[in-house]
Amino acid sequence: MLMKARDESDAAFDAYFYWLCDGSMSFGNMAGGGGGGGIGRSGSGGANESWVAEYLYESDVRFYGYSYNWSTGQYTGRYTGNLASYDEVYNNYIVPNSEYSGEVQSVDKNDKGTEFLMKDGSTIFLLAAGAYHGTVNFGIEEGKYVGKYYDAPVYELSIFNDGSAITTPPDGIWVGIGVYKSSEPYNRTLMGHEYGHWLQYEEKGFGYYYTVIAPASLYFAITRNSFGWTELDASNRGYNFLNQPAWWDLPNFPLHKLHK
Amino acid sequence: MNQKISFLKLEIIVIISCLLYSCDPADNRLRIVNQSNTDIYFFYSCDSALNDLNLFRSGYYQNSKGDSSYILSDHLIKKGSFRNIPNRGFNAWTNYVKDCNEGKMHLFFFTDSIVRKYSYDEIKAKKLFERHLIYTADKLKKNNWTVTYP
Repeated sequence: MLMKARDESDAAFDAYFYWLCDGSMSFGNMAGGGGGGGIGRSGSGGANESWVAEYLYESDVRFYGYSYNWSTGQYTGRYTGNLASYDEVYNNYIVPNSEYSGEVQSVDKNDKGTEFLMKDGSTIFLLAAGAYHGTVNFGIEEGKYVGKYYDAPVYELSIFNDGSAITTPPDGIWVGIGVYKSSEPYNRTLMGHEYGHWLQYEEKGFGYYYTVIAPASLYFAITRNSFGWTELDASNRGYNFLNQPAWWDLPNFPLHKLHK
Repeated sequence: MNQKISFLKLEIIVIISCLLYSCDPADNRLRIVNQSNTDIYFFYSCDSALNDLNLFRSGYYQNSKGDSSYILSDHLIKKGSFRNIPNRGFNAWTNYVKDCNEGKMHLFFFTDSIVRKYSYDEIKAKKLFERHLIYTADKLKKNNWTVTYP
């Protein structure tokens, strides 16, 4: 079964997995949140593709996640209660508000919820209704290379999950988890804007970028000037490179009036 | 373990780089929780006019070359879920609200069915929002930057 983004006609579905927070290690305030969705059907092994799809969408899925003990360096599965290896945590890591695409290998259900074993080896745990407590996977703070955005390498790191980003050429572009492949306007525009910084570097060179553009960019960030020349220039470069997409998030990433 | 150490080094480099060259900081403190039984769209602005209303409905969007790509609305909050809203800049939400007229931010909610059925112009003209809330920065701070619908 292939999970994919839901279209307007609801022919398919989208599945949001919320990466929930353990209050013991706070990343800002992430406690609380909405209630869990219901589990309307049961199943064990040999998932029927269509009901799994419907189930995931309709139940407003939650990813249970892992907790990390900083003193012992061990991970514990919040679903199973058992110790988990780093590789298991890494493989099962799913970002907040992201879409997940994968094929279901099998399904198992118990009183805590439902476990989906995916064909890519990852496991997705869905909570039973109302049992909404989660955790952030703080133990996997790696800068993960996720691919190239045109010619710029892109790395994802959770410290940028607040929507921030940085471009450090020639190394690459750093964004939050899930941003690189996101279909949401803010994230896509952020990628385009950062690539605009990358294009500044390619045109102006290392010295100019790090002695003029980067300090000016910091100055504009501190002074809250989203119309600073480095930012407008980066947005315009990205916007034009992407052929002026209609989804560009203008309120957050304004452009020069002439867009050229 | 070596892998984790190298990641830590990498992280430190990035954090220092951010401190030195924070190109694009953002603030996603504002959380909207949808506790209703319907999917909702939200829109925020500094006034009640809805002049710049754009909810980025999910669907295909074109660029100037005619190429289209699928966009998933980031103004949509599904029933029983929540969303943290990013805003560019350091401490961006506090500054955004304080910079609004009288220091008040207007937050509008629209049901999914309305957004699907009507154009932005119709929504604007007929004021088809489900709720209109006005917040100061102090009020939001008091609510832990969380807005709950309904």
